[in-house]
Amino acid sequence: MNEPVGHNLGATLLELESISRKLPPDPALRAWGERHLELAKPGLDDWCARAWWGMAAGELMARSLENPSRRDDALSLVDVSSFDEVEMARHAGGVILAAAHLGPRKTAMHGVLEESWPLMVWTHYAPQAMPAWMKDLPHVRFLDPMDLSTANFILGRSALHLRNGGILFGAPDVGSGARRITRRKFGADWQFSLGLPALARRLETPVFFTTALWKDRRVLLTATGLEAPPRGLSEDEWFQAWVDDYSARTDSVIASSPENLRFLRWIFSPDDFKRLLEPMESIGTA
Amino acid sequence: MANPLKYLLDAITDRRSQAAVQGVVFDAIRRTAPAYRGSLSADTPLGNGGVGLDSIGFLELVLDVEKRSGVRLRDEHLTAETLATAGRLARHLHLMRSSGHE
Repeated sequence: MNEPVGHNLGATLLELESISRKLPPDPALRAWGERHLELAKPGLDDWCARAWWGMAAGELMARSLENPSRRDDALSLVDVSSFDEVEMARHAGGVILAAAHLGPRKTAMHGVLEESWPLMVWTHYAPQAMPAWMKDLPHVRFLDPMDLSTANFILGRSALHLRNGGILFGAPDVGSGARRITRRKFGADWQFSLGLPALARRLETPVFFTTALWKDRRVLLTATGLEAPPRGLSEDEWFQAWVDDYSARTDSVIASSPENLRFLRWIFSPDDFKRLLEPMESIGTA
Repeated sequence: MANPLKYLLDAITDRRSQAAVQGVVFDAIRRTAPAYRGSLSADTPLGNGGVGLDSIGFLELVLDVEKRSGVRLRDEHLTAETLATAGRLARHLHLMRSSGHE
């Protein structure tokens, strides 16, 4: 899939919306919406169009953010809500930004990279796929939770970073990590790695639920405080309460915001997903 | 050559200090992995094939040895090399202590 050329990203996303309205609803998307959100016509077709737009726009956004010549254009579409509370918490020690796999891919991370905080970022890239300029950012260290050679040390390293007043960005809604909680919702088993809550509990580090979500063809990056569960709970109860609070927030997005359901790409095979986004190619491409 | 007696005394002190740090690491391992019933030596792997620590176990171990040894570890030093075995972790702590990271 190539990136559209000759347009700014904002104009491309507008064109993409027009395309999304003309496409017949994808049968797999429609089936997911019917089954798991109990949607029915006429709202279902609109939901499918918005879900399709979100996935296509998310791909363009992620690719633009990683391309140095398009990054500023993409960032101009990202509105950052106040990070004042994060800043205040940081001055009292480290802060965890608990992201979610919702909204355009990698966008919350890129928004946070723009800050000058000492950052540690948990992220996974295919081998050689991380852009070179990202590796050179002086204030950021990237750790890959999927890298089995270092996965065992990721929490220890993160703890020392947090202790020194650093900011840790990662997403707990993943199937990696030695200890996980599984939650059945929307017809699927959702895995939550307990690494971030373990750090929050052990170090009593404040956590902010951090998302970058589509809103009116722009992206809103927000970080809102997650309250720590009561101290008197057992470790297992504490983790469950933490995951329940975090999940309530992701559930709310999933139920109400079709353009932010990035995870729906996983109901498609890689080839089918590529085919799904083929209509994007009709926008002038390189 | 420097004073051979001083050299010998320094070597003994260093050895004792290394042994003390190793004791701190062994104690921390026993607290962190109470279910581990195997013997502990400098060559015991901390992860698979040995103590069996997972990422949360390593987190607890690192914080425990820091607290008990008084050594401030740095995150970039937590690698597969330094955390491979009890002895390597002890050696690293000892080096950090010797270079004043307390």
